[in-house]
Amino acid sequence: MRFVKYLGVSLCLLASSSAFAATTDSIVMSGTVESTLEVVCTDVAGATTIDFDGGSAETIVQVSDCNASSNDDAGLTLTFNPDASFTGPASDVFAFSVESVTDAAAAPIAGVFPADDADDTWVTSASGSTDADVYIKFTQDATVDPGTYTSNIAVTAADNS
Amino acid sequence: MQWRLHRGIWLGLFVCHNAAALPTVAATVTAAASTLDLDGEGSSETYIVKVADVTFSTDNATGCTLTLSSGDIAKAGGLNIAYKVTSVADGAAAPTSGDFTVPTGTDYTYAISSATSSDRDVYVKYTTRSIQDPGTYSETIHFTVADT
Repeated sequence: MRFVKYLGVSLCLLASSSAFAATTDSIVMSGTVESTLEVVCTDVAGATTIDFDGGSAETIVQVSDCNASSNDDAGLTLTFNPDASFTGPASDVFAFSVESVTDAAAAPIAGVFPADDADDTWVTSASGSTDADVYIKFTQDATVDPGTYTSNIAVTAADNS
Repeated sequence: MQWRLHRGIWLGLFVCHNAAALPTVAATVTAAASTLDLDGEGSSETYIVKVADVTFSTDNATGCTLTLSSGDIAKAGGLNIAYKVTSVADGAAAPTSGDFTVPTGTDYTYAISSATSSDRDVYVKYTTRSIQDPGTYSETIHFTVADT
């Protein structure tokens, strides 16, 4: 009898499943914007004709023009990571430091350069393109061993966000 | 005992009658909805994209109204990309730019006037920027149906 008693209600709950069908629904749409981050650095002519033995003076020379761009609203950071020093055919080396300035600005003074072999950074705070001139500072040696001295500066770019 | 049986059945039918009056809506997202072209890498454009198939129905004699939300495709730290929404009959040609008459941020509605079921294709229109903060942008479109 108890089965019969609740038969109607049970059938109803089964049949009225539409009562639980939704009156609301939703979808999610999405898309991705890729970073356009890039950096291009060009050696200037002076980068391959550095005067190492013209005297013993502290020397500041522009070695590169860099252009970088990104669509990151927070801008980008360029990092200039120099080798420890210029090396040549013998044991003589030239330690040097790196400093970047605004494109076409005056050369940096000696006091603004970081320590030798330290990274230098160029930072922006908005999307777009930026140009920087890269200088090095080293001390000449009039008695250095003859030969060709070379070094590299690794340049990396990163979005700020 | 017979009275008890009838009471159970009539109670059930009463509940069933009320429950069946609710309209229903079911939306199915399209593949294109999750791969929206947002540009932002040097070029911009206006896009019209089908984002959902929606089915809604009612047994209400005077029909029901389907409501779709609209707003911005967004991410934290990036500029919002506003969009408009409209719908066309299932399988119909995509709407043109001028068919998106409801402003961004305002609900779009589509009504049917009898107890029936309707299938619609849901489209969005948005315009990208040539420079846009990188990342994934998303947005939820809400579907609501109510008897009229």
